Amino acid sequence: MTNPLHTSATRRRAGANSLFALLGSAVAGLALLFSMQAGAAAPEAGSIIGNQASATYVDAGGVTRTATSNRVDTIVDSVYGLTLTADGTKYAAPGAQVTFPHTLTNTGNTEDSYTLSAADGGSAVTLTNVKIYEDLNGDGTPDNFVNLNGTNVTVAYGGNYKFVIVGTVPGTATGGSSGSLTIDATSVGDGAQTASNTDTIHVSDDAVIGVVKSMSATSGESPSGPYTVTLAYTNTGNNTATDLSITDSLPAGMSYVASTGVWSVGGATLTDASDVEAATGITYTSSGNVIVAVIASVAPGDSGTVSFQVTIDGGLAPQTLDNKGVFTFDPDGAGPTGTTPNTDTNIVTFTVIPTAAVTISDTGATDTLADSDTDLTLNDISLIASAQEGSTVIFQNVVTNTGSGTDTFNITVANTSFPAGTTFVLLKSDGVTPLADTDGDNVLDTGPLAASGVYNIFVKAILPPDSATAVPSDATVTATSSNTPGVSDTVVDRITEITASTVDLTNNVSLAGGAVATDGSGVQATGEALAITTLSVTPSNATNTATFVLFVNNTSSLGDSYELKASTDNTFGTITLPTGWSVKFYVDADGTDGGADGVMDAGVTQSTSTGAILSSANKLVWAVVSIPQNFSAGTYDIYFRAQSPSTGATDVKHDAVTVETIRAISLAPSNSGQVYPGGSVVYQHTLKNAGNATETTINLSSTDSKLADGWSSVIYEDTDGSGDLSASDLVISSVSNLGAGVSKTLFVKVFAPAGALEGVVDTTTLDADAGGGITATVNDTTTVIVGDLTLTKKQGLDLNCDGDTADAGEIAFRTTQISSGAVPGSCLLYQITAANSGIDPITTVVVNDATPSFTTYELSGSAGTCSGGATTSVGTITASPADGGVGTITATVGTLAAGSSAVIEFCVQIDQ
Amino acid sequence: MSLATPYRPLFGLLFVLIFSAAAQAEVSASLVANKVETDPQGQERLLPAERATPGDLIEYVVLYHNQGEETVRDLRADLPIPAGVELQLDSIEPKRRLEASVDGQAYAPFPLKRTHTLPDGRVEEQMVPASEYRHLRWTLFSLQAGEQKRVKARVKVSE
Repeated sequence: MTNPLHTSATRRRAGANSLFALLGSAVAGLALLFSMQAGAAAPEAGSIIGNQASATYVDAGGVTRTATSNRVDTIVDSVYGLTLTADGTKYAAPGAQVTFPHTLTNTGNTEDSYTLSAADGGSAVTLTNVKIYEDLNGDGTPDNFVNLNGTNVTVAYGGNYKFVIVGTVPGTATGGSSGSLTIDATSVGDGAQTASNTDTIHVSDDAVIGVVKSMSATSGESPSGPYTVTLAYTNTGNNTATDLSITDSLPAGMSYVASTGVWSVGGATLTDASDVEAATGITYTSSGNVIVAVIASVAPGDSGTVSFQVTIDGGLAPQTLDNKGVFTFDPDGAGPTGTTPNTDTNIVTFTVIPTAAVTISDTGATDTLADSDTDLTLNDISLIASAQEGSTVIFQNVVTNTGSGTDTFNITVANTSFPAGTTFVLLKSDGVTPLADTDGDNVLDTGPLAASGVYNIFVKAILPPDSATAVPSDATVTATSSNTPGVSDTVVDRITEITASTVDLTNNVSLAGGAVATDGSGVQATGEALAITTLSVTPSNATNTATFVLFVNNTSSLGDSYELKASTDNTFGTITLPTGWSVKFYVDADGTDGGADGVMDAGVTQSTSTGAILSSANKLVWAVVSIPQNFSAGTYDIYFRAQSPSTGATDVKHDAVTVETIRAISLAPSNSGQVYPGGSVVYQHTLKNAGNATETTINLSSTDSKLADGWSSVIYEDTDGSGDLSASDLVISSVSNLGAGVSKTLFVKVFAPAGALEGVVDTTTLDADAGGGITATVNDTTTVIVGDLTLTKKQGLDLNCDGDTADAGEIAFRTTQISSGAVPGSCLLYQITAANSGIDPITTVVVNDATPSFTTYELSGSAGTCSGGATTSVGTITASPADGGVGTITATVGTLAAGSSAVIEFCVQIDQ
Repeated sequence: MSLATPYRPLFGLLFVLIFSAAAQAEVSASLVANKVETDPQGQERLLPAERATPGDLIEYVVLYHNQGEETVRDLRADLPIPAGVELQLDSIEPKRRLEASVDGQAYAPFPLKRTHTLPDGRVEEQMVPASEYRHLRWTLFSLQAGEQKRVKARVKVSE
């Protein structure tokens, strides 16, 4: 429909209006005619009247949404009907056969069959041999000679059926009498639906002329031709006809081709002018599209043709062009002048078939959407220069029906090079409603579009996230005619570049708040070269935190959300943090914190996701870094990353934590011991660097409170790491480079003077001084005692387990190490001497010892303690393991007098 | 009845592409079609319009219901007039805030008019025949949470 509405003028572009103006009202009128025809047609039985309502609205968020109703369908039931045309009148000579054309039209809404019956109509003259023949081409003569009288013919929905009825006038009929034929058609679907025609025959003794009109083709496109129209006349009467005048007024849409008249009798071409023809016996004139031929004389039995050519005009909507001639003649030869009434020839129907043609194009400069064709050029490429991944772009494509008839155009989209996952949605010309399938072929289409009609479709391309590419993305949109499926046209919808989504992570201030490079603005895939923000932490508490203020700025044109991570690996190939560190993110979800005061408010939410951030908006995130107590001093780089899981947009921020130095050393424990005069005692201490940095030099010194009385002390380190003071341990006065958290074992050996009196107490003070006031001190208290029980343990090697060390290769009891010869299976003898070196008896002495590792208690030797078990020289053995067992050997000695001693011996076998 | 050849099915299934935004719709639209029959006493009865024959009256009623918790605005309700039926202009309810279209593209206030150039060059204004109406559209303005609005129109199956 071309611009039928008042208000539409303001809605269309000037270019479109001028196009419609050029087309003029004639085309509009034809289009209207056709649409009224189509609109008035009863829907075919079984078709579905489907309807679906919709609404668009704007929701509270300002987003335009569409609501679509359920679909309701109504199925159309059958109705039956028919028309039959037309009553005919003819002159016929006695004995002649008459032929009448008829057309049966199915006016129901479904295919139907009709019973045709023809018979004599009961007038004065009774016709015989009444038959019905098919005449599908409508030329007024039978197509074949299968008699259909009394049979059924089937006519499609909306179709018609052409046939002729013939009958023979009896030879006995007299001129001036009349006969008739009746034709009845009855619907098979509904027997109440009938139609009938009556044909009248006037018997004449004079000339009887029949004229049959035909065309060389009965269908063609607009424009097409030339086609030959033939008017064939025959005198079936018994007298000469004179002045046979045949007039053919061509219907609108059919045009006479000048100077194409031909008469079969004269042979020569006829002139269009009203003049004397070269051939005698005919006058022929053409006045526009009205052709008149007058043949002077047609003898009984004579026949001939007058033919000419016509063309079908251009610009015609699909339709049928009905054409007939009329003729009149003087039947009585040389008798009195008088002509028959005008008689119609048969009707020739020419069907103008639609020519299908379509264009689909870009809009050039006439787009109704901003930027839907940025090259502003009609070049069959609808160009959008740039779009962001994950966004939705809309192309405007213009479908124009350049065919001659109303047509419906299927619209398809082929993704040529858009990223995989792109979704295309076709929208109607309102840009909102989805394009529908109006003709039931399961392909979306424009709906019926009149000739020259223009329909805008919108192609919505929903780009997948993470689809950025610099390679142009093309989709081919095809409009295909439903009338002639081979007719189609294409347009390319193109995005030159799909840009990536971006996010920018800044410190302390958002981009909107004015963040600059020193705040970390700009996208850095692996973070800035230098830390943007460095926070200091003194790790003196059980947990110590550094809190970074981050702003996640969505610099994309679409909303997005981001995952938050922290790592010391700026590529984030691994998520690593220094040992014991942890990072927690707190998101200012409702935007109420703002972070301006640098204090995290209570309303923030711990999360590793920012949640949705609108385009160009930002969200505050607190990154709380926890550092364990006494973590090694130093500056540690830490990288924060915001990354969209959907679009992949990423920014990495380089920050750092400086762990401040804590210096501390400790010494422990304070010991107390006893020493006999002239003896010594060893105290073990642990010196620990309790700070978080290496102490380069710790000076050690010891002082004795009874220094003046001859007490002295010496500091050893546990050089060999044995845990006991041994000969290889060195005397030291300082410790160098003691790492943070590292301990060192020290021994202080205190010597008592030989003349020390019982009960004297000496305090030995061990000082450690790391400098800078970092010191530690521990005191050892030594008391001189006289009564003193000493234990001495010796070992001997007894190769053959006979309880002595006298055999070859055996080693006698000694306190030193046995470094060779102790082979598996041999026995070791142990001898423990408990001696009272004091001056008073010692009571209730119990000596305990145990089988060492890798040995078992031996009772199965040949002699001595290797067969008899442990012995004690004083008291009794009150506990010992079984043979081959392990465990404690207890000697309950009882009282040891001053100067006396007890010797305990037992035998073990080395495991084999 | 005069028909163009070749003949294609007048009606087809209407395919509506559902996209994600639609899933969040707060406004529902429900459409009911009833066949209007008049009994000998002149009383109208509404029967389910599952089947109809040419000449039957069908009444379409659409109920728009805001099931969300927020007021929506700029609601535009579209009721298509399917091919094969003719709108009955007197039956439309409401007639206020009503626009119509013959092609689904250009809408104008109801009733539709168009200009026609006579052979002598004069321009005449004509009413658009009811048979050419293909869309009705009501501008219902806002719909508050829980509010319902109803629109109605009758059509006659073409004969």
